[in-house]
Amino acid sequence: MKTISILSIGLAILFSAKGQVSNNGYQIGDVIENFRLKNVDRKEVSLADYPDAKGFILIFTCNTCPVAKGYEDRIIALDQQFKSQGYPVIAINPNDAEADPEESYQHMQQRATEKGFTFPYLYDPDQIVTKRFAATHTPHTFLLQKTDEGNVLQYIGAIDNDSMGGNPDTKFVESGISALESGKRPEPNTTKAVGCAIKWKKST
Amino acid sequence: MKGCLTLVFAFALLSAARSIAQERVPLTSLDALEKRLEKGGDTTFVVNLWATWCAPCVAEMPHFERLQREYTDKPLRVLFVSLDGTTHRDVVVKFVDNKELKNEVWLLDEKDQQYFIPKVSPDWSGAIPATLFVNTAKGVRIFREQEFDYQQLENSYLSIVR
Repeated sequence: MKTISILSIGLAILFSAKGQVSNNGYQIGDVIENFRLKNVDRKEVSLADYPDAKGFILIFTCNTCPVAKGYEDRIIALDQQFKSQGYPVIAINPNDAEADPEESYQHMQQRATEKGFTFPYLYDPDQIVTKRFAATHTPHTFLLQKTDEGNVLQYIGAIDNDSMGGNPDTKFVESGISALESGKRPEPNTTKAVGCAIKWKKST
Repeated sequence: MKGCLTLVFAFALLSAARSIAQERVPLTSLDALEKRLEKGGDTTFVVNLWATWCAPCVAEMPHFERLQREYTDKPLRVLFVSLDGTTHRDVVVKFVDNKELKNEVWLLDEKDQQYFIPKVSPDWSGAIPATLFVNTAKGVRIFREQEFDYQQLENSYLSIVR
């Protein structure tokens, strides 16, 4: 009897511990599986296309979210500043175009042209890459560092600490790259920010 | 001189009207909000986190209005807490007025998202819409990062009070 109760307590602990893991995507330190998605210029883009990159600023962003749109100029600035240093921006639209027609591939092309995006803006029609990263909202940023083992996830979260006004005093991605460049880890390596929930494909 | 006085008077009237309108959407710190939830006893609080710019948030608001209407004689309090930021108070006031919202509406007065997002819930990514259900007497605190339809919302409420 005693054994059984100990066992059930053990099980309870096991299940409650399991229950706490709500984020089942990549964790800090994980090696990212390569992906290949269609860019707004109709060409496919993969992380393997960048042999000289030291890492990537991967940003889930979209056409419609006011917070994401408020960040577009800052995303362009990030690409301009860090592409030459080996950390190009790769943007991915995580939203389902059926859930919101303004998130369609055509609207992505329009948005990229209007804003003069200097980086790939990729279409994830089956939300496969979005799910792998467990992205939850736009904009949602993942900083990768290229190593001998592959591209390692080093930072998850916000670009900076001002998602409302555009007047940040702490730039998480910038300081994260500086840390990587000096052989350190980004600190903090995870931040939170208010954003628009991802529009998921209706499960059939 | 008379014209000048009229102008001063008109200006005073206008700013008085503005501050009366702003009272419809008072500011709150997260701490003040949490204290109210803690002291709520058997009241079930449904705290909806939203912003005027968030389309799915705006879409689900009528369900939250309806929940409060349907259970008006119950210890239920539905609170809309806006994340628009204090600099956009006029926008929120205008929105509340246009939509003729009946529920309480508060404007969250917190700048540091690294502080307030995890404090609301460790499960909150920051995505909205999001809703917090609290009943202190029952020891219930449930956080949901999702958009509700009426049935889901009512079921969530009833699952706490039943």
